[in-house]
Amino acid sequence: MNVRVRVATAVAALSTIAWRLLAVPPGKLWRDWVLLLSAYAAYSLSRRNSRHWPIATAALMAFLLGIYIQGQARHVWTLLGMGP
Amino acid sequence: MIAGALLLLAANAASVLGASAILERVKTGRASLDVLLLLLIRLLLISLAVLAAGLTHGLTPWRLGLAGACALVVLLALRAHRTVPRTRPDVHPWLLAATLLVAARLVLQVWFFSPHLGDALAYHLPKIGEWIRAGAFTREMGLHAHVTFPAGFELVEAWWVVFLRHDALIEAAGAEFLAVAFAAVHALGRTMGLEPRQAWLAALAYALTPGLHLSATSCLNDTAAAALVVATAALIAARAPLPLVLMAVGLGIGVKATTGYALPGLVLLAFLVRGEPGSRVASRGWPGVLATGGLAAGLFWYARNLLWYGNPVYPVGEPGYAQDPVAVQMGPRWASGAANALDLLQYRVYDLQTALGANVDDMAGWGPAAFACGVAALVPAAMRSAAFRRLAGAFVVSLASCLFLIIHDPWCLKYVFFFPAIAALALPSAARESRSIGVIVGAAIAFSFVVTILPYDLPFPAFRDLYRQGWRERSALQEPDAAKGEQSVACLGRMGRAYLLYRPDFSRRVTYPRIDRPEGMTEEAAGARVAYFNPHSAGEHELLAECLRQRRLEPLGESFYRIRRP
Repeated sequence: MNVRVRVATAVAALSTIAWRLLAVPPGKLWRDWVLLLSAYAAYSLSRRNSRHWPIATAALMAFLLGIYIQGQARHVWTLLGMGP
Repeated sequence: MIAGALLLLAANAASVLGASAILERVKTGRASLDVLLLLLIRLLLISLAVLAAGLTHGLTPWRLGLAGACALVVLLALRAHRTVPRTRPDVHPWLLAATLLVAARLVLQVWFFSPHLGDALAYHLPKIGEWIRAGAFTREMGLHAHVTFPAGFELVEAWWVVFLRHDALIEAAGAEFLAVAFAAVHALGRTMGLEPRQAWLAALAYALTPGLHLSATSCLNDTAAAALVVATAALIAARAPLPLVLMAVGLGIGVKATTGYALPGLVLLAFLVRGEPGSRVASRGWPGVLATGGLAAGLFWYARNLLWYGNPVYPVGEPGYAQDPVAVQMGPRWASGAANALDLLQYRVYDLQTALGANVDDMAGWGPAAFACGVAALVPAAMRSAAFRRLAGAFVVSLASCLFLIIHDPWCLKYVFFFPAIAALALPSAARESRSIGVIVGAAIAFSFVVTILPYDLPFPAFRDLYRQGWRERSALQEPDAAKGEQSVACLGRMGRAYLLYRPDFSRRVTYPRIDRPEGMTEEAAGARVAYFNPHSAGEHELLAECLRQRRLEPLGESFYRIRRP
């Protein structure tokens, strides 16, 4: 990835992080999809080749999957006749 | 019914052999892209056949079926069966098993689901009821303001019902387009440098996108529209000849005008890949023929509207249309774009509001694979590959273009079901980075499978009711006993479930009285003794109340009424 693309990505990621920090109530930041992905993009720019990067990626994906399942599972169980 | 089934088989065999014979002349030599072309050419042949039949009073089992049988005989005599591609897919056995499981479930969904979704019943499908009963295209298509919208998808649905004169297989039309979506992502993946097995994983993940998958069996055209956008992107990315791209574009705008909203991104993609090596085809003439056919099939509906109403996109742009409660947006609006984008990013992408369905009420319908894994996987994919950055940039431009052009309402994100394809394409490389990522991607795809079992508007008790009915009578409509024997029903109210009144075998006549005062009821009902009236607007509620007060309608239950002559 050339320098211009790296700089553009960094600017976009940091601007988005700033926007979310200003726009989202502090109590909801921990599950803000846009913030988490922007932070992940910024991290990937600097640590893409580190041995921790796959762990960070897996952790982010697992966390987001957990959020998704937590929100959707109750609806789908009810739909399938298995919920309350 | 057996004769109908044989005609259906013959006509489908003819369409496959015909498509295969044409493919011989426009092959690109890339197996994945050629499979996509085969599917597109088959859909084009079907569309043109139903168009021709509808215009010539040939939309009957015997006329269209015998034409198909004759075509089959000719194609067999020309040894077209030898041209059918026989490629063995290179796919991991577990992935193949998962795909077969999804395909088998899709067959069951096609068989056991019956048209059930309000929009489809109110304005997509009544025209099919009229066409099949008349054996031709009709001016009468129902009461909804949008019955005049392009009906390219309805052509394929009509194909699946005309031979049996029954709608048992009507959802197969959506399933065909889901197959196009699968093949398109596979082809895109191969062009982006994914190995065949990785491209297969991306294709499966995209096919299980909840909104896309559930729309395929809900008789809505959003799966078809999304599939054709992704197919067009696949042809452009592979630098297929322009006429083949135009064929896909033509089919797309014939299915839904909103596919045109994605064109800015597709044009950008064509510009960005202009330096890549192109795909060569053997014939110079056939691509032009296919482009002409695709554009004719797509532009037909706009030309018809221009001829009938003086407006190619009627009723959009007509005086008073903007006040219609179901009005679509005309032209771009900054306010719509900003609101749509913010809603998508801030909460709809979580798919939290309710269970998923074709209309994705106040949600995105992109599902767990795109939400949790796909978008995150875009980051390393874009960092690694310039080709991927170009494709992702084009998809983002298409998404943005659509968001500015579609009205901001709870259902607007069904018009951008094409976008999760780019997230699906990023998944395989991420899954290969580490075993734990692969496990999470697998879990996300497994949950996608769970949320695509039933749509929210067909909850388990309603599905069980359909399952328990015999296939000949299977219908989502509850009718009171007093209405069951009626061979003619008058349908009032623009948002009612008009299509179900035809019955699954189209044996009942449906009339559409256009009245705003009770006095017109008797003449406009055209001999019907029973009316179906499910009012939605304030005016319709007032009309029903007045009809009841004047005793012109007598309630029978379940929105049915006996029409009383004064």
